[in-house]
Amino acid sequence: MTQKPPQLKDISQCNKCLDFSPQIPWPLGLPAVAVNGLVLAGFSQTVVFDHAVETSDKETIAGLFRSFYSELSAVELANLESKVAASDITWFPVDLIFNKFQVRWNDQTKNICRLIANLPPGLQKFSSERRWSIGDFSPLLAAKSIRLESFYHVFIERNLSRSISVQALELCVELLLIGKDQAELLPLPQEDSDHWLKRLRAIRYPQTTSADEMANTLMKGLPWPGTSTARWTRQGDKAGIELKLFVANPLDLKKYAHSLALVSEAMEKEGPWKKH
Amino acid sequence: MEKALTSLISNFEKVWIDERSRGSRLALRINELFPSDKIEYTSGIPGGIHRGEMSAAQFNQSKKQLSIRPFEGYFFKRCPGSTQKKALNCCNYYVLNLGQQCNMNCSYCYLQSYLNTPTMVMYSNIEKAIDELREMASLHAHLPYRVGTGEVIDSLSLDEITLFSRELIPFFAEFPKWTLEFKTKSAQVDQFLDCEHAGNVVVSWSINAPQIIESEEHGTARLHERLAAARKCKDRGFQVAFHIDPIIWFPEWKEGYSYLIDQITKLFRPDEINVISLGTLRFQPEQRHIMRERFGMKSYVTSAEMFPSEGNKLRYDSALRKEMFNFVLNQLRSKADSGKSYRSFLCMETPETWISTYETGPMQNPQLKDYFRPLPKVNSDLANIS
Repeated sequence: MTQKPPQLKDISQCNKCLDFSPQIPWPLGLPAVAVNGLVLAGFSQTVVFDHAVETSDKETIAGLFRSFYSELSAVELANLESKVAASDITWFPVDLIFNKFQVRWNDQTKNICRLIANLPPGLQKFSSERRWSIGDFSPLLAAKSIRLESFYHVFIERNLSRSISVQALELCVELLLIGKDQAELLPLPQEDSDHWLKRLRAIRYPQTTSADEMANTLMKGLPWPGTSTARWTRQGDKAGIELKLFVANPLDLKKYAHSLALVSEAMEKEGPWKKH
Repeated sequence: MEKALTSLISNFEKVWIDERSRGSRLALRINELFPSDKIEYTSGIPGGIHRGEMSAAQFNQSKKQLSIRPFEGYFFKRCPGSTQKKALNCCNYYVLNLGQQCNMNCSYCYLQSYLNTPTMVMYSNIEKAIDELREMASLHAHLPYRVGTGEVIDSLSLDEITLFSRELIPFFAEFPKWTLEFKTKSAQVDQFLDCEHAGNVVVSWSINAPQIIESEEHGTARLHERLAAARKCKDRGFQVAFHIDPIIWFPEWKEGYSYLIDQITKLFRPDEINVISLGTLRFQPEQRHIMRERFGMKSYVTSAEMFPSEGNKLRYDSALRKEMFNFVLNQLRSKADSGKSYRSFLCMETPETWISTYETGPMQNPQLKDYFRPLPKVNSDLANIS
């Protein structure tokens, strides 16, 4: 717990080295907050409430910090970590603070944070706005030898969603590491983001894509009942036919059963369903 | 000292011995084998328990540091596959964990997403493990329990140091209905070949196509070395088994696995092999990051086409799995000798894959049902439930 009431000071008397550029601005009318002369929030204010807390009371310090921020993105946490690492402050409980934001603190997290903190500011802003998690940046751990700026540019320029940009990052890292040419991986001028992602997946999973395409073509040639819709679809490690039927009365079902028996016979004669 | 043992010892940069293990048989053996400047006595776990996944650097380092300490929980547990009974068909396999981590370095190793201690660990209180087994035996000596020691550590690659095999084999000689299974990718067997046994010790090898051993199983014994060690064990009356697991796709996979089956069947008749288990590549989704960081994307494992599957692991497309299983099984069937076939089963696979491969589930297969018949729960299971 705080040992003494906080002292109101001019911010110039405190250390602002932890200014990690939090996204949500501090309320204008409130003073900044510091612990033991170290500003934790409200870095652009002119006056500060400085709390004196035993530096060994890490839980109180972490709790105080947490109370100023309802949430912090991975980028904000990474920037905070990098500010702490660059400072000579040894008592600031960065591990407890990460835990309080539901991020497990360990070497892996630290490594990812260092990578995030070195990302171009544009991508930091983009990923922070889309609430990328620490784990979403994991592909960067293997990407130290490759250039990804062109892909970052695509993410920002095309205003991609979190889901698409996170998937695209991992696919691009893997494909570049496999040895694919960057030009082959960048989106085509008229290609929308869904099609781009689909194309990246096709390059990353060539055999499965080709098997699915072949099965799809074969499936389309089967004698499906006129009013049904059949679609080749993949659900994780399984691929198969999704069939939609419209039944208005029991007779419809009988007709479908008869027609589907013919489909079944045709399937057993060719393609991946062929009986051996 | 033998060259293999010297090389094993030189692999470790440091050995930490917990004060509580001082005077244990294992600690004495370590003191006998390792240079004293590599040994340090400590209290607790050096580096502490790690929360969450380890970094690639920590994982690499953990292979070079050995920690000797007593184990405080239950040694004897069910195989993790049995916790997914709804999704997977699993055999009645029990595990006795006498340590964790491995001195070899396979790209697909599941320990990469499992371990949380920054050192390799060997437990110094094997007598407690034997007490647990004895307690179980007092209740169920007549039931066919299969107990393996190679779940979170290779059973034999460090056995020349620990000599655990020489304590377990005599124990299992007292309980002939039970089976002890060592599982290894090493060729280290000479240290126990002279032990008296009751014919209920299975020495098993995880084996693979030579191309996969070369590209993915770093630091392991070569195929011919593993098979030669297996032959040596068979000739001394031990049972042998093989785990062709994980089967990994690579451009010449059919030739590779066909060659593997040829090599096995040239050296062993069907009645000389206890069982051949098959499994295809699988791993936890979060493991892909550390594998990518440690092995790049030129590996057949990291570059594999994997999809989310039952049990939350990533696996090959189910049609490819079926093709791979059928291919390997057909190769095995083609080697049947005078009507006798090699006994095989699938490890940690879904009921659909079983049925598409064998046309039945394991309980309907007379050769296999003994493996899959439910057995009474053991103490550690009960402890886990409460």
